[in-house]
Amino acid sequence: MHLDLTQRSDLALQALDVINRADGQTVSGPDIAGVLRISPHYLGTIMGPLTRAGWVRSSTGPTGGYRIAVLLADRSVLDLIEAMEGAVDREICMHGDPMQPVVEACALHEPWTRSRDALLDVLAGTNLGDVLSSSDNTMHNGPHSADPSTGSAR
Amino acid sequence: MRLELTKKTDLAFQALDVIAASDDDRVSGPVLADSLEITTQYLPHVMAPLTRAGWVSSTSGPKGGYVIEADLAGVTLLDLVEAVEGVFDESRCLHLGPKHDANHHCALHDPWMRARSALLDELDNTKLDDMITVT
Repeated sequence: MHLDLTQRSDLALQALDVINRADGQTVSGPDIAGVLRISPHYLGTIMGPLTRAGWVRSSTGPTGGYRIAVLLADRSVLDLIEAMEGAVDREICMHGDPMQPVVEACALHEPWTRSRDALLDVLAGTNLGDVLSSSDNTMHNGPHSADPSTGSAR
Repeated sequence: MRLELTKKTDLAFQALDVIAASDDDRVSGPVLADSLEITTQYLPHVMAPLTRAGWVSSTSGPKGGYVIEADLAGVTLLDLVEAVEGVFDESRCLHLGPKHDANHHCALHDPWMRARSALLDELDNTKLDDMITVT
């Protein structure tokens, strides 16, 4: 059983963080791609699902880019993962024969569903705003985002 | 996001269930394959993880077949899933691409690990013994 996220979900969160920090201003695709250290082309594949799901608004032209369209504190980790990786099909239990009526056939349906719900509950109960504030130090320790105020608190 | 078991794990569980429920504690390959609605060629693939784990043994010959070898009382659903599908890599978070930076800390690492632990705990709290029909 694979229990891995794709890197796309993590990149999406990083992109949202960059855009969110612009306080409602538009951030250009190349700027975001630069911070994430990915190609603008690949960024397009990350921003596509976020735009379609209404998390950001995109505009074209010389001053175009992406603007935040949601309050991240209102969204959960599960919302983001499902936006990026597709909704979890809660009826399907097994990865296997598409001809098999898995719901009735799977002997492990009940315990597996319970276990899967436990995972989904944690993701649904984890607020993206909290994730971003707790990962602030690790996500923004690169040369792109040196914080001039660090150490000047009195 | 895919959160699915493989069919092989379900078949392995059904195999244990069929053997445990049999009157003479021994089920021949063809009978077992028939119960699982799979071919006798595929059956060894389903049974291999169970014999490797020492839960089931197989004997050949006219009276041969599969026997439950170990007390399954302490065996959990997590044990079964890991026996069939492999052990989880505790440190891994993301499907990593070729350009992955090993020093990069995934922002979703902590919530994902917490969520994954919740799933694994549920599996580990589910005893096979409570699920199979022992005669």
